[in-house]
Amino acid sequence: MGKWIHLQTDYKSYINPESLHCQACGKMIPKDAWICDREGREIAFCDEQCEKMYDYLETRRERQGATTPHN
Amino acid sequence: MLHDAITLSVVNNRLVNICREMGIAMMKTAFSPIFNEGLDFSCCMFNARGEMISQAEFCPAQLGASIFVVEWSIKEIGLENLKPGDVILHNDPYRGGCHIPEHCFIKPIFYKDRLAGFAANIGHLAEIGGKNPGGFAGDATEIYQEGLRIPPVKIVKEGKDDEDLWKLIMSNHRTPRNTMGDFSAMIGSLTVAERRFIALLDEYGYSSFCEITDELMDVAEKRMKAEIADLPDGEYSFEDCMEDDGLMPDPTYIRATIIIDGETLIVDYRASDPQAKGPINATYGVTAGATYNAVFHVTDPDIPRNIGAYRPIKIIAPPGTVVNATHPAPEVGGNTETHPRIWEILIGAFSKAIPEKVAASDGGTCCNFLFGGIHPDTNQYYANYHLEGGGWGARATKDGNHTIIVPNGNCRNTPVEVFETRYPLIVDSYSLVQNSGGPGTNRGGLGSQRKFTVNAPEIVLSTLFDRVKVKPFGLFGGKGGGNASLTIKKKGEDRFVPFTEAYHTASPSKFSGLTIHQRDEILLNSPGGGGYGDPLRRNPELVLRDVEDGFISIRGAREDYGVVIEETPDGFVVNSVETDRLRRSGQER
Repeated sequence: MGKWIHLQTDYKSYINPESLHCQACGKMIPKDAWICDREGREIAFCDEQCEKMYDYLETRRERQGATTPHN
Repeated sequence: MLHDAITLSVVNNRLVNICREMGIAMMKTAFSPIFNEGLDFSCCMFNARGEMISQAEFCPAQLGASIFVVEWSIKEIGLENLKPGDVILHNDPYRGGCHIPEHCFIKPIFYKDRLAGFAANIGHLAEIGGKNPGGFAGDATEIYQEGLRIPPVKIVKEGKDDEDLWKLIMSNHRTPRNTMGDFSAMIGSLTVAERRFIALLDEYGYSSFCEITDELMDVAEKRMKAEIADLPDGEYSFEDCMEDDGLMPDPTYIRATIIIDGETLIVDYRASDPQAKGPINATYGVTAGATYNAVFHVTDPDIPRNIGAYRPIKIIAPPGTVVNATHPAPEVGGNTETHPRIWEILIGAFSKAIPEKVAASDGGTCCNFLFGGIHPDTNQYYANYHLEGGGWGARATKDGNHTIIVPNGNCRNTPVEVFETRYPLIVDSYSLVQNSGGPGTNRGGLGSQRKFTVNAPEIVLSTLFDRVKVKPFGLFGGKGGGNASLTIKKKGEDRFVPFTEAYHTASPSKFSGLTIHQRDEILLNSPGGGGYGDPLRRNPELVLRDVEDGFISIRGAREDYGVVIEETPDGFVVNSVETDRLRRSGQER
């Protein structure tokens, strides 16, 4: 289970130009982040869909082991 | 299904037509040729939740990114803060945008005192301040050199222009008159959309309209999932590169793996290189747009183009890489150069799964050619963004098209007459480049050559394009397309030389702010598309026709296709005996 957190978006938030990125897809999260616990670590996602993709890829990676060669 | 197919289709077409009508309004009222001739803009409609419900046949790069631009704008400003008559402006690549010249205008549409949806458009402003006229600094090292960055802000508040903001923007652009004209055209097109959207709601009622559009999104999602399920399961990888970043000579590699597992399609870019120092970086919006573009090319084109069609396509683009650059990386070339590369890489990966549905690489560059300065006739700043078409890749069944803007752009070139009327640059010639189409059973499309002469005391030139060193790839034995090139012959000199020689630029095709003088000549060659299949299997009669048309030379026919063609008083003829001998020896090699 995760929880939603709301990121600051007023002008003061512009002091920090870095954005929070989803740990699954890499997209910048504009305002609402879906925070989940994975092995004691808090991970930010866009939403539950991205959380599912993260878990799908982790499972797939464990099943396959090595990375895929290119071309 | 709650609604019958005819109702769904009628509403979908009405929504698409709203987008088309927005586009016509923009085309007819904008000031800059990049809008009214180049059509470098897109229009789309969103529901009250900020989900795209329609688009028309505009620029795929902008359409893909618009999903994120609109989402970010709505979330940052907040639905609760939107009022009737508001218009939001946004061009920030690091707040969901694609690249900095793309300015997005978003208008919330209210119906009977409730927020009912949004009209949005994205257009490429030809001049937005920054290091050089026209932007596109090919040697930029940070986004601050690329132009004025505007986060989501209201440029119109409850129907009234925010004059302070207009002043701030116009004082930072070199051609404020064009800014005002183009921005006004974009805002005007939103008003057209608002009027048509409200008429549609009057006709169907708000609740019924929402049910219909929700159903249209579900239909699109189901149909896209069915298309994905039809693709063979597996992992398909491919890589290609941006040949340099304008600062360093080394290539930057993009590596993609497409994972297909039933109805799941994930495109994984985790093996790609870190973000570059120069301006070839793609933001997430660019990479996502390129990914959608590629998937849409190999799936049913009749699926309604709403958010439902996008939902099943998942993307992994790690921040800090060339496919998801982070602040303050320069990024202006990402949308025009890296987007087509990403698209081509995915098509290359799909070639391993569905060879009959793909094309070899297209030219893969917009050949961005920006020039400006003080116009000798008006004594005022001018700036123009020119982009050039290249050859498209050959397919399993057909040769590639000649000299068309990259598939991510879907733009038009600017007519020579418009060019010469408005700017001090003469187009001396404009032609196809012989032998530039990648040889193959089906030949790649040809690139073009344009020769300019400067007709002012001086102009300031910036360029940002790729494929000068690395050829657009062929597939299944097809050869690569011809490279792009950019050379200059200074007044009084007798030969064209690369800019690396004439101006000692770090890159032959990515630089900014060079002063070019009166009577200097510039030669711009766009690349050709890659070939598909073994060129030795091309029908000799088609090779003969290509020679007759001037697409390939007699020598090219012999060396690339193994076809011996002789010129006789009656025209060109194929020497069948010599062709058979040559092709046999070629196959033996």
